[in-house]
Amino acid sequence: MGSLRIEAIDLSKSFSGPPLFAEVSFILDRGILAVTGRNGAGKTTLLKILAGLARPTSGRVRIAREGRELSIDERRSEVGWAGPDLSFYPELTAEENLGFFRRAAGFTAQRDDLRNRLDAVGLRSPGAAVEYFSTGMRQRLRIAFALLLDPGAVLLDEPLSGLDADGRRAVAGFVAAAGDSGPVVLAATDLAELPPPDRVLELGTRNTEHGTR
Amino acid sequence: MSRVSVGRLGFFERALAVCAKDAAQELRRRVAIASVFFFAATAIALVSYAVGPFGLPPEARAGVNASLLWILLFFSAATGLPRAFVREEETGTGLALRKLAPGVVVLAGKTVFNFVLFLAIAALSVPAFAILLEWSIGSPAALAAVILLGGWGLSVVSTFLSALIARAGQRNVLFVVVSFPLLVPLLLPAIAATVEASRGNFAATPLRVLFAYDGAASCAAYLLASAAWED
Repeated sequence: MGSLRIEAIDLSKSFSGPPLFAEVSFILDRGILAVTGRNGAGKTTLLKILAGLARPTSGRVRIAREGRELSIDERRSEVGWAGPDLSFYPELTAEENLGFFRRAAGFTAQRDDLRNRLDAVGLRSPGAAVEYFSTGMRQRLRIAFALLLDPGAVLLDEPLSGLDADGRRAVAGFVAAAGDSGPVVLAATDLAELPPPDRVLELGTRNTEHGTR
Repeated sequence: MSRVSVGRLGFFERALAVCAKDAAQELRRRVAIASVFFFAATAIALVSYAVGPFGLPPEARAGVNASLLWILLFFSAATGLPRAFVREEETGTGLALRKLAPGVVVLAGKTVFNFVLFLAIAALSVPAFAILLEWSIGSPAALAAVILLGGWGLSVVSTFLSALIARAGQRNVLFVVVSFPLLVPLLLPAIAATVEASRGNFAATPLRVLFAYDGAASCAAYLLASAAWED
């Protein structure tokens, strides 16, 4: 199975005032694209648009595998996303949350598989309801959510937010591995502890893109 | 990011997953269940105290009791059923759900949960209502058919409206205002069929109207689910 290609074509977004960003275009087949910019530049909104969770004011997103554009349903499972406003059911445990989201997405959920996914992000207390989780534990669960359906492309918004040193190292490892096999888009204000991105897209008055390696 | 071999679930299994999740949440927190049953118990107590078994002449009892029963069921439902989608927005989980599941799957699962909740309300409140008002039901089977058909229509419309209003302000007021014109065509035949059931008759015409309403409401909800929830 070939890897995914993400194409952003002249994306613009505005709410009630001036455009948040305008005419953002890029093509990403593999590797890491870091989206940077000041607070409020539209990084989170851009990732939501790429994930299909928000609509652009103009432009479009095309996500394709071997030239064939994915349907909306395929995009749901093929593109993993996690962001700071991703929340979980507070009454349920981490394992129950992940199990539910897998079934709702149309995949079976086996307990061993779910526990392995939680172990991989350093969550080893499946008995506690999510409402008792710390900020860092919630962030680890967001990373597990993004990778829950073994996606072909990953979009991560501030993936290191709230994590301790072990968590930051683990997530940096996930990002590097994901970038080796498919496209990864990161939104981050600070790239210091993340793997070096292949390209950087700086959102601002002029959307500038440059390679780093 | 290698893809693992997994079984794929169909529409009904995915919808049941949503229903089971809602049930698990509700059983742990008991917000909707507690408010619905408290409302129903209070309403039955007040109605039985105000009207009582002897407050009405015998010939008026069937009509008044049927109307009071459906008012009770409607407002009990209006207390709990709209929470289906509103809760997703309150907890911030709507984003994750929209990411992974199409609106029609979520709507179907939440409708089934609301229908089960409605049947639980009816299973407790109808016998209590009949006992306290000494209301004899001539045809319990006909009444059960009315409750099932009326309950399904009420659940479908309430759940769909819940998806529509979930991100609006003043949700509770909006729900009652919007649901009134949509649910009157359901409540009138339901009351008519309940009157006949209490007299021991199986009223075919109102039941056919209820069946048609349920079919139309289910089709409309199916077709509009994505627009209501995802956009």
